[in-house]
Amino acid sequence: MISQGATAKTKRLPILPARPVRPRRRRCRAGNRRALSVADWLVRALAGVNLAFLTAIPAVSAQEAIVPIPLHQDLDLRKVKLGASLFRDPRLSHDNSNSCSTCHLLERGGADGLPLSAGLDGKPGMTNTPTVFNSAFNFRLNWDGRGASLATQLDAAIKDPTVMGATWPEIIDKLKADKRFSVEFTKVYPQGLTPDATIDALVTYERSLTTPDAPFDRYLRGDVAAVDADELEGYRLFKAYGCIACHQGMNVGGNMMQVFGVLGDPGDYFRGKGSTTPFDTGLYRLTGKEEDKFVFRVPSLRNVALTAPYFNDGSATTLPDAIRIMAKYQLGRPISERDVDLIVAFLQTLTGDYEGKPLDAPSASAAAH
Amino acid sequence: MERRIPKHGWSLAICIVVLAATTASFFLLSHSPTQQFREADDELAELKQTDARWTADILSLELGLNGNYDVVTTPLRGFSAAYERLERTIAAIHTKDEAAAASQALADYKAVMAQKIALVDRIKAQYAVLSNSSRFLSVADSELFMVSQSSDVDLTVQSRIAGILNQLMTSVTSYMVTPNNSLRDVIGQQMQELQRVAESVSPTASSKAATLVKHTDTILRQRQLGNELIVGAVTLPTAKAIDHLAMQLRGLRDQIEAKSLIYRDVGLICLALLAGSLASAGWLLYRHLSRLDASNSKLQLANDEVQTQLIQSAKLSAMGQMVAGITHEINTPLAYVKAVFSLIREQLALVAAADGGQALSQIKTPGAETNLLDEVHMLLEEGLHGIEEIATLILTMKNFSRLDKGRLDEFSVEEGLENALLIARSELKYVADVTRDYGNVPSITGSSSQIKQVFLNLINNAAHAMASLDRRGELTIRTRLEGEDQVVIEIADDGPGIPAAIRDKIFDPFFTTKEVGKGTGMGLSICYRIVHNHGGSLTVNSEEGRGTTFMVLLPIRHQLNDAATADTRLVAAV
Repeated sequence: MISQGATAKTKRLPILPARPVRPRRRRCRAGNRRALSVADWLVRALAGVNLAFLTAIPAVSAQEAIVPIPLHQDLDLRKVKLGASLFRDPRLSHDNSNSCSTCHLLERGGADGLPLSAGLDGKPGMTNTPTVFNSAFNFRLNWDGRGASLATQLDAAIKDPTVMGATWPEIIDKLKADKRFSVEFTKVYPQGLTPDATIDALVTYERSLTTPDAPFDRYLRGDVAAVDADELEGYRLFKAYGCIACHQGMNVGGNMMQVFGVLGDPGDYFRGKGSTTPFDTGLYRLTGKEEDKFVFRVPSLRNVALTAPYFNDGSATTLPDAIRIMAKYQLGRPISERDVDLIVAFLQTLTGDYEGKPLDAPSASAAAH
Repeated sequence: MERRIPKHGWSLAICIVVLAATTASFFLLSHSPTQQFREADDELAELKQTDARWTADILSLELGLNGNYDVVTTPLRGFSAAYERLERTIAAIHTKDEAAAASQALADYKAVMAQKIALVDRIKAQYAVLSNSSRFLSVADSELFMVSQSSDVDLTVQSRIAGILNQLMTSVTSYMVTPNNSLRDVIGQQMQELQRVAESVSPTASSKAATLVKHTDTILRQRQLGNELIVGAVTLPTAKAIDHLAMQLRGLRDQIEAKSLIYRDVGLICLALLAGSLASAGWLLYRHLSRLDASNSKLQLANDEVQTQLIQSAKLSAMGQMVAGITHEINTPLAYVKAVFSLIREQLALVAAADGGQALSQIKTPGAETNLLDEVHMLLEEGLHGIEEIATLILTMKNFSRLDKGRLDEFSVEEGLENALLIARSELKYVADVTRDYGNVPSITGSSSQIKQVFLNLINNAAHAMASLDRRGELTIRTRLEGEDQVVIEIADDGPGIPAAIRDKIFDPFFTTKEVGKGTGMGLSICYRIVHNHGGSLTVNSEEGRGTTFMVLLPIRHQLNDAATADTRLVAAV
């Protein structure tokens, strides 16, 4: 087990990667007789320190790599309410079959639990559904980062023949036929039912879909008891392995692009599982640039425990699977099962509250309906 | 005149309205979108600042000073919002192709920013990988070191591995600070050496060495790439693009402002014209009002004159009626008296004849030398003379009252004047010369005898006036046409004139300046009445010491109907 002392050490000495250095020092004292000069050790130690000093993001950070989600959002609640009803409205799809909530189920962490999202006409969609929760904090949307903002992502999803397959005129016509909705809508948006107003209502609702006050956020805010020792050790490992190099910021990810396959050839992972789709090449599908091959938006790890399966193709069924694959292809290093478990424990502390209730609580699922 | 003023007024009013509208529209046009430009300017200044800060954040990212990437991703939303606002601004001021350059500049700016954003995305990815590998390098290093330190490994090999590791760490550290190709080559050689030595130790050591080499490779690659990306991102001319856009916007603003200045000037000219129009409208109104005022006072004057004339006419008319009555009443007893006086005179003659110059002829009036009979006869003669005088007066008065009896005919006023002059010749020839200045006026319709009486009366008056002079006077008679339907006859003397005090009274009946018994005082009032009955007017213009001019204005009136009306009027006036 991880000792409390190790945790304390990490906290005291955040500059040095604790685990590799400590045994070395012990060795230093023990193996003195073994032909290595003190000078050698000194140089090596200095080199290690220098390297860490020069590169490690979280180690020397002026601020914590992960920051908590704001507890309150300043939103027009009438718009949120309108957006909530539109979010569940199948009239937003061409054949009145899909709504936003078909794929973004609030009771399933804002995703659908499927490897690939449900497309139109019973056909599967192109990628795994990213969670709608906290999507407002992502710098871009979609796996390949093509959605520049909530509004453009939404607009694209509406028009995408594999998602909603609709056009705004037909949606507006359908909504306008509903007199009661139309009247309600016009109370909030004086300009009436327009595509822009509809998008705005939906975007406002999406902005309300945040999950603040996760245990780890509470810990970051100073509540030391919010996470236990294992979880904290998981966080330490998360940093030590370098997961944090990409999964950082308010959304623990979602603020950068990264190639899938840092060590070795990019795309090895997809080639390894057999068949690939154009969507597996990530940003390259859109730009055609060689450097964009297999480049994806780093997904947020907020509520990640609830949004299995993982990756753009949903190919990682469980969280430990995903961690192992990441360690291999992104970090280029082996990882022990114990460390995987501890990191999972940490990731579970990223599950936040929606409307004041933890997202994985049954009551939250009920509340989402 | 009354029709002309409203016509002017209408056109002026339309002119004012049109000018006001033009002025207003020009001033509206001259309103340049300064506010929008200022906002765009501020926007660009802020963008430039944000961009600079962003660049600094990117650089500090590479120095490990930022805890996470939120700092370098949050500006992105600001950028796209700013693009949209700038696009809207340019679209709002877009007129034809004036803003094309600005739009192009914005597009250029967006393009260079897109490049920078893409580079920053790659920098973040690159840096994450670099930091992980470099952090892991020391771990891999110590793991390999530990593997190589096992007791079954030869001490020289151990020392060799430790030495290479030391050299490698030092080289990589140097490379991290100053990446260059020679160092890269050295590191490459060191890695090869390390792998070769590790292979000789154990498979575990070999795999550890492979991992170490893999990460070292990654470090070398990512460090080099990071350098290129950073240099690329920092040297991208975003600030220049912003400056260019700002310059284009300023150019556009200057263009629009120059145009708006012209609009403003035109607006000012229109304003001046408007002021002019208003002033002329005011002047027109003033003139109109003062004309109205003038006509009003003219009307007032005319009204007063008419009133005066009415009073005059009424006076004369009353006089006429009275005289008609009195003359009849006086004439009858006067006839008796005259008859009785004549009879007495005849019978006295019979008595004197019968006496034959005897007894009666001897009777003398007491205290007197004359014969009584002669005395009586003389008295009778005196009485008869008085009666004659009364009769003449009565006749005059009768004539006055019978003015309406004049017959209407067409006659020449100039002939009438000649007639009157002929009659008055005896009065005139010792006192004045006559000057005729005839305008050869057309003949008029009226009572020729009455008009002649007027002329004669006026000429006689003039002659009497000039008779008092110690020199020979001059009588000037003029005729002329006044307008189309009136003739004017002026009878001017250069006599002593009429004193101002009595000028108002000269047309009154019984007013006379002559000694008692010399004039009836009816002449001018009769003249006045005659002329007025003819629808004309009789006015006098006199200056003391210089002379008097009587002006007779008479309508021509050829139509018989008019004549008949005039006749009726003549009757009615009496």
